[in-house]
Amino acid sequence: MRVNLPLFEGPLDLLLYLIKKNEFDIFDIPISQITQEYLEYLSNMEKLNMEIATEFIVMAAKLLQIKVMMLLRGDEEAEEDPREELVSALISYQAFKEAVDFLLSREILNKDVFLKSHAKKQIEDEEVWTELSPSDLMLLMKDILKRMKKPSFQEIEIEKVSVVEKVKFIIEKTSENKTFLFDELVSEISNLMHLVAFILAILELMRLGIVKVVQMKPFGKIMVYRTEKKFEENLLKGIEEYGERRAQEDN
Amino acid sequence: MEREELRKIIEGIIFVSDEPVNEKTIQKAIGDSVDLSTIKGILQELQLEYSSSTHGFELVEVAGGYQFRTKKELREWIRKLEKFQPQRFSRSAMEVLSIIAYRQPVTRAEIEAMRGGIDSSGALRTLLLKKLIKISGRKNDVPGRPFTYSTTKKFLEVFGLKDLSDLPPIEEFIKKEV
Repeated sequence: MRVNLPLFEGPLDLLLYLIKKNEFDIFDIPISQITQEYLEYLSNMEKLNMEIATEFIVMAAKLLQIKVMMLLRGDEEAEEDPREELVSALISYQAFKEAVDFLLSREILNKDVFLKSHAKKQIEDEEVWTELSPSDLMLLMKDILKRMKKPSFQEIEIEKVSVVEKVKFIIEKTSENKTFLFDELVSEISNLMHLVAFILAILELMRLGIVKVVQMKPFGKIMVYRTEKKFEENLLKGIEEYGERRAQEDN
Repeated sequence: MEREELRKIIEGIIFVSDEPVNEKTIQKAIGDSVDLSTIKGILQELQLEYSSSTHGFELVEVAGGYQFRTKKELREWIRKLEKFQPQRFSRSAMEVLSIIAYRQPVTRAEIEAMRGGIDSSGALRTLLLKKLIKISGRKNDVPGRPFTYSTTKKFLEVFGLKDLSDLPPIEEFIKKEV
């Protein structure tokens, strides 16, 4: 058997399709009919061994609930229509779909229209390092945490991890124009607390404008380097102060 | 300064800039002796001039400034010339982007609710990497203080919008029939 199933972004997308296909009035959806068609679609997906995302199941339950409420409601006009919430969700979703079409109809940069600087950028691409922002680092941290091996048994030990130590470590690593690769350092860290301290240290140094974190291309190697060399002394003083401040906060 | 000369200078400034240039930036470069309304007038003249069919590029008002961009009808030619991947967007990324554009600042949970409960973390990640959106803060009155997302200046640049008010009101997209 060959079944051709259109693909949908989610349950609302599927419902809108069914409404359009059957030419239903969105403000007066025949719930039992649409529920039946919705469930048929899901069972076709199952037949094709397609994975049905949970949100589709949640919506199926919601439709059945509305159906029951409609049956129990009787004819009293005063009562609230059980379909109301669904209808407004469908209408607002439909509006955002229209907004997508609007955005895609624009003259999109690097698809429809181009800048003169583009050619220049392409040539320089090899040497261009883009600076990463703290939110990029956050995404990165999520990746690292995913990659970090979780031992099935672990001895719990209470260890005091010092951010100041990490700051000093990074300063040392980046002194005399040296740079280091983020990945190399992180791969040596196996303990969550050390990783957190390390990231905090980098964030603090980024905030103070002492180090910069750059990446050559998306998903490329990440490098940490020092922005200023001459302020070595001020720097160390700053770190001590930062350490004291943290110690105070801890107390 | 002669208006003719002023026009040349403004044209040159826009030409060399990587980012959209606004009237104030131009004034800073030329000097306060030229008032903003004169600059604005010249910008409009230039826009009109480059909009003529004899030119391959035009002066577009985008992201709070002016920028030279090639005309849309040249896209096939330019794509041939430059061997690069054109900007592409997935359906889910576009849905998330349009919700953020209209509802910003908005949390991930709010976005997902509007899409019928679809997990949107992948789309958010893609949009963050493309720098079309940014984390703009946190929602403090919600447990867990979730991050809120907003669109960036790059979003305006990519979709050729002057500013956020350049988006048609969402009510215009609400249709009585599906």
